[in-house]
Amino acid sequence: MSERERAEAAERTVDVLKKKVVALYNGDTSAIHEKLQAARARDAENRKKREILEVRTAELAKYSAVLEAEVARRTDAIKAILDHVTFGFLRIDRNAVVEPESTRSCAKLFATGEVEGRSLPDLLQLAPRDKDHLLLAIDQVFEDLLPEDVSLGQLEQRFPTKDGRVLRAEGSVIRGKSGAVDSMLVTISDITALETATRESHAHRTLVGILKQKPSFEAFVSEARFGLDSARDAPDDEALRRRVVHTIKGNAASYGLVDAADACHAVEEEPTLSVASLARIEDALRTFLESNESVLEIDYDAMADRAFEVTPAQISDLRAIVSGLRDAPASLRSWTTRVLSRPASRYLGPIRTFTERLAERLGKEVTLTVTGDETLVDPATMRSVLLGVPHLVRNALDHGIEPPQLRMGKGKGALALSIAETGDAYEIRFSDDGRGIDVDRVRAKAHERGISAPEGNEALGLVFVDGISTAEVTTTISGRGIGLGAVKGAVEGARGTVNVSTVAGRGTTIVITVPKVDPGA
Amino acid sequence: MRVVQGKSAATGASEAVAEATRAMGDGNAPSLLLVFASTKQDPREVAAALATRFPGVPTAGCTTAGEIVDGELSTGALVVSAIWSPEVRWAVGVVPSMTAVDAASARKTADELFARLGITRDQADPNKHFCITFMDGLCMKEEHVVALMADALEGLPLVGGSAGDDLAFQSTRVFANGEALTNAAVLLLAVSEIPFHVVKHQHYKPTERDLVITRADVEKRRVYEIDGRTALHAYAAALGLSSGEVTDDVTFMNPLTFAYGGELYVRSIQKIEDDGSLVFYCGIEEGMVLAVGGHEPMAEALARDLSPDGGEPAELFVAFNCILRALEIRKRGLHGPIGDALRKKAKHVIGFDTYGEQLDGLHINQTLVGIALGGSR
Repeated sequence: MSERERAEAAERTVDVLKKKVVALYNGDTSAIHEKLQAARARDAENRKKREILEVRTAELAKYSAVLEAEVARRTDAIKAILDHVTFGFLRIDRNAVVEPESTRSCAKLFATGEVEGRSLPDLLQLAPRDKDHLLLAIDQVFEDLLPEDVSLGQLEQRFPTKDGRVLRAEGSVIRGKSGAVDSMLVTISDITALETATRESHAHRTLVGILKQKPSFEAFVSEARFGLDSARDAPDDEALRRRVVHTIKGNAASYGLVDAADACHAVEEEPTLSVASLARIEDALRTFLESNESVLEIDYDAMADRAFEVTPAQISDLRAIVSGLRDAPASLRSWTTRVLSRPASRYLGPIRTFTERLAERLGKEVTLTVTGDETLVDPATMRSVLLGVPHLVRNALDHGIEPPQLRMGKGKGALALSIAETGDAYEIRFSDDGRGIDVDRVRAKAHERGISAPEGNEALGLVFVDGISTAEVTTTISGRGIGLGAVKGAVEGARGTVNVSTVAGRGTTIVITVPKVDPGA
Repeated sequence: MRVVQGKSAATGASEAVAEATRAMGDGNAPSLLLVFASTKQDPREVAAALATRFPGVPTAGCTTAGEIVDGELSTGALVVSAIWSPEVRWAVGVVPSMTAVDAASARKTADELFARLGITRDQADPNKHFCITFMDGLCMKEEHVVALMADALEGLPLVGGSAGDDLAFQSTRVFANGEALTNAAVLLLAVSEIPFHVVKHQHYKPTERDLVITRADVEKRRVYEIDGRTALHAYAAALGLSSGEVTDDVTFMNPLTFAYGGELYVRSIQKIEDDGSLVFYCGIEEGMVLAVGGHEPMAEALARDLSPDGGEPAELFVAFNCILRALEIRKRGLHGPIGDALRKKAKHVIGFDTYGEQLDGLHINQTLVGIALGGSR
């Protein structure tokens, strides 16, 4: 290669590099660079997601531990009940009439003054048919034709009373000298508390079990829902319907959803499976999830967004509205909204723990005050907005709140989050008392990225643009200017607005306003 | 998790499938089949024979430039892995045309996969969900598609490889549920209750010798000039060789590299054209500054990166090994030590030699990437 060729090659290289430098200076990143940047941003997002999930998992583990302690406590309670339960003893003759010398506790158990000389079925306040059954069974014991344990086994033992208690009556045979049945000894006990405690204990065990394998439980609910939907859509496919019901039955039983499994079992006994039968199973699942919503946070109806259904109570509300038709459109709308609403806390997640953890990690001292997190919101509009609140917290902790030594006598940092609703909108207000946002720097950053910045404080809105962060240093916590962009995206998706105000050295307040969607519109 | 793997060198597709799947029994259907086939077996017949052998079982894989099974590296074979995994659920999705995919269709494909696994986009969890990709290796659209899919999948861990055809560069195919498709990508989304981790390994370090791409056809990944000179001449000079001395062996031993965000990326040369231009396996552009890569001992570097501190072996490792690495292994006779390093990584290893690797939204090469399920890191 000659000197001349070498010089020309060098010149060409310099030209290409010059062009590249000018392009980079103008903010024209190349396709390869953009892909690398996107990959890096995805990586950062994943790190953030992992942090949030970590806190949620810890929260879940804590809840699970609390429930386990509750189970242990209930088990002790059951023992205590068994130790202190009151028993009554009485003897009855062939006609089920109580003989003299019953224990005093019997009167208390039957809630009556006199016991002796009265018939046992009457003391148990049985309905005529049950009374006949009991009398027949007692007669059989006295007949003594069957082996003793068989005839005693025919006696009903559990008797709900009219005042809401449950009595247990166990019989044993007293024989005379000839060996013939002389009378029957009946032991009466009140097992109401025992049954309640057992039921509660079972419920807690079930919940602990589900929490330990929540993702698979969610998958089960989702699949059950999908199965029931397909079964409903296939009126002629009896085999499909039976298969769906049977699968749900098995899974429900394995998770301890007794009512749902029982509902499936009852439905399976029917000659043909109607839509109504499927609805009974769905109701059982829904009831279980609704009554444990605060623990499980699973909404059957949000599971796959396949269909929207309402409960019978809501239907009767609707009937009432329709029957007084004058105000119908307005009341219908508010009925729909009521039915669809969920508390905001559900989408905020364990925001307090999240804040504590993050503050600790960043060496910041803060207190978070949350108000209005039980405000009922429309999930369709507010879900993604509320899911973005951790980004606001993260940002405030990382950039807003100063390290303790730089707080200049301001004391512990204060974060405040409030969720409220007005007639036609939801409002999320989030403030910190940190160093505030430097508007000039935001404008400078925007300029670097070739974005034109509005005058005055309006430029603050640019902190919500991806890639614009006023942070000096990007950390794994925040600073790449992506989190706030996600918040803004969610707010805009819900047709809302974001307003930022800041005072240097005093803090920043972000107000998100999201209009309520008129469900009737 | 239970894994049964098999291999066959038979050239008839149905015989090969029968032989490779003999140990898999006829009882419980597996949760997933992974399949990699050389050009010796007709890909469409392989796909059909597997669908007949295991009706309804999710299946994914592709044609290759070399097959890996249980640490054994070979060519000309069909390898199949049957996985029974109650702790991992799988869904197979297809991008039918890699040239036609856009952000909206990528998102639709991702949503379908999420729905099939009973999760929503918001629930995407990088600790539990991951995606394995298999892409046509000759359509030159991997960069575009992998970036779109990574975004559509909410940035979940993503790893995969481009299909090969034993260096014929004629036709590559991807397998999905009974079909062998061309110009397509197959996505395997998983929900895992057991831990998993993604591995990226390469045995190059940058050197001080920088080169600037001064003229290129970006679409065709073809570089005409480097440092203002014919690309081949500049490349040869940087290595201290004459242009005539630059053979395929030289190019795969001396790829170019660049660093971004503390990570090293390799740009390997696929072909030297008669006009002295160089065709690359991955995206390039004018003004890009590349450094000549320095070489580390291959087997030692792999052993170090795969099992840094010993730890429990994983249950399954799915590996995507760049064809250029495979060529180096073959040339240097490193099958033994490389196989040992793979076997140490996991109880079961399956994979193939690729025409490019995919990792978290990027298309890269001259690496070994993979995903290990179970065990400790």
